[in-house]
Amino acid sequence: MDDLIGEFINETSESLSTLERALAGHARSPMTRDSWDMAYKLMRTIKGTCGFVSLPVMEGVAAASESMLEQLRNGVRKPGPDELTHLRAAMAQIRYMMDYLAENGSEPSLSEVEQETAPMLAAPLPPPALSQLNEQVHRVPEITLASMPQPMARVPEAVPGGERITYATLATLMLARNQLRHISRTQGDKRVLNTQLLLDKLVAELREKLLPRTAPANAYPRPAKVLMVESGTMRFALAQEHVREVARIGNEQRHAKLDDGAMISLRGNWMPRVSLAQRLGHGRPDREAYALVIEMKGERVALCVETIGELEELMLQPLPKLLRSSKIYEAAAILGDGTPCLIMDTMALLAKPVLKIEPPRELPPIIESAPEHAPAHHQPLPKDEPERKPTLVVKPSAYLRFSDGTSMPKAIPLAKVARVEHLLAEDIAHDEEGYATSVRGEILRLRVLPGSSIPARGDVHAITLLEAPGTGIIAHRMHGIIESDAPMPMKPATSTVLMLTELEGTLTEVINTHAYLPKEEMHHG
Amino acid sequence: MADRESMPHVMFRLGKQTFAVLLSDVKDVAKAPDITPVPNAEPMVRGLCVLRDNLTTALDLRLRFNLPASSDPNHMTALAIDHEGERIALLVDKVEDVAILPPLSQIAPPKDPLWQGVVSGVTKHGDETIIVLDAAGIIDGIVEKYEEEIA
Repeated sequence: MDDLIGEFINETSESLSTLERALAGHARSPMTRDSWDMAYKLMRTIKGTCGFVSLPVMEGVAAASESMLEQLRNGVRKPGPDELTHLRAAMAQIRYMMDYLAENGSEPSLSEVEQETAPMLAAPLPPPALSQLNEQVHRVPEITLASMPQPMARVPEAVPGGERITYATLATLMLARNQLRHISRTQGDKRVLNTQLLLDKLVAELREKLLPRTAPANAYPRPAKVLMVESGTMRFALAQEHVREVARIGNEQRHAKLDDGAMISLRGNWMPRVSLAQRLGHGRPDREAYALVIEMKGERVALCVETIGELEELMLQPLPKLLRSSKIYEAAAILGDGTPCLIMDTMALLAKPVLKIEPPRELPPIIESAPEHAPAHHQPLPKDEPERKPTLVVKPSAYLRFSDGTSMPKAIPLAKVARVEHLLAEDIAHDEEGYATSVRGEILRLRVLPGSSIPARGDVHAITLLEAPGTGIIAHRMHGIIESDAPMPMKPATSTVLMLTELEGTLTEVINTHAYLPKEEMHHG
Repeated sequence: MADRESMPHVMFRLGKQTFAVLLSDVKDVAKAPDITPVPNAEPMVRGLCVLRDNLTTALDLRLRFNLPASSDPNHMTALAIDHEGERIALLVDKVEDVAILPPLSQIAPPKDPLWQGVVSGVTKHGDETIIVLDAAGIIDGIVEKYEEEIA
């Protein structure tokens, strides 16, 4: 099970617990509008995350509950026994699917979910929000072109030869489907659901028949799945295929400013951070609550946005020529609410900031990489993933902060650091010269700071030193890079500690790396 | 093809000046729909809108001719034209009339780049001097400028 799914299960489980508590308390004290609003947002987040980790069955169940919660919070529907039963059953289904996912690494089919959770279902669930349905959701009744009622059956008749179906037809059907979906979402009008369902299936079948699988990416018009994002009052779309991950930006993420570029640490990986609001000159960077991790030429970049919207399938049209000078959009489309939408050119949007933080050649890189001999569970870089290139500019006033397992955070001046190696404690040996391991076929001598130790098992890091690349200082956990101009020493220096100082509000010991060099390097130093 | 001068023109106002374009170039006249602004676009490009189901770029002619911007482009009138397969809404203050205009007086090529490539001629309609514009020329001029900048 990869980290992403593990984190998804943890986060979703917490959200479900919150929802379950809220619903359990409803009998004693009816939920307020704010409570329903909170419940709706939690379920919406679950649904959105399911989409990103490709769990269509769970996404469909979550979408149905989201739709009901939206009606409850808007007062369109009253929270009666049927509604509460539906919601509890949906949560039980999601829980069952998460357990299944944790055990098997994939989600079960909807029929299996329904069978397993049938005792909990006193009444059938409402139809799922069709925006989230796809062929993999078995709840959708099978509608084939041959089974379409008249007069619509006349349309599919032309499909086998493909002569009479045009992109204009597909675009019209897709727009109609998106408009019905918008009506369904915003007005809770169930009368449109059946038509929407038909259009969903028809669009899927026509799309398959019409589009050559090898169509160039810049051919227009073409349908594409996009993720809606917001900056200020404006909405934009990003091609879903570029987005590797979505993370909520919280206090747990660490940030650093390096020259013109900003960095953010997500799941322990530092990457350039780009503010959509700043790139557009529109919106509030301080309100950006989500980071979209985008892979670009082997580098990962976090694009921060204020709000994440729905996943949509739109028919993309070429970017109008009067907008081409802006250089950050690649296409345009019409949304289901009848408004226009621009699709960002992700690569162009991110290219400039990434180039800005390319390091000068003479400066040392900091690369965190798994050792070649790492066991399978250690998740080395996939072979087809290009080697990560250095992206940091080292400033004299920057420090690499880490934990050595003691209560006092430690730091090393970044200018002294060659690399950060990712190790397994199990691979560290001890001989008469002390601790050592092998990295890329070379012996790496390890130094343990006073009061610290090497854990018996699990992940550790070795911070290798520029003056002695064969020597690494053991770190239990990397905190990140801290910039601080002329930090104030609070204690006199000792042979092993340059200073005790405050870095970004945290008392930190800055290590004198000279004390940890091999003897020959110390003499040279 | 009929003589251009015997064809009807749509007359519209920008500030105190009346302009005209060929009626045959105009696909639609409508109150400017809601316009979605586009960050990083040129100021005269007010944004995108959907006009009769067509994705349309809204171009503010006041800004094209260096007139002060309208406080609310959504209160302007949109003259929709097609240019090389794209629909473009020329935002004007007000549409005045549709009429067959007297023969145009050809004017010497203006030195001011503001007018280059966009004026078909001038004529009188009643007491009023009308500047007849080449709708396609307006768009071509802007696109050429962008392409030069990009190159």
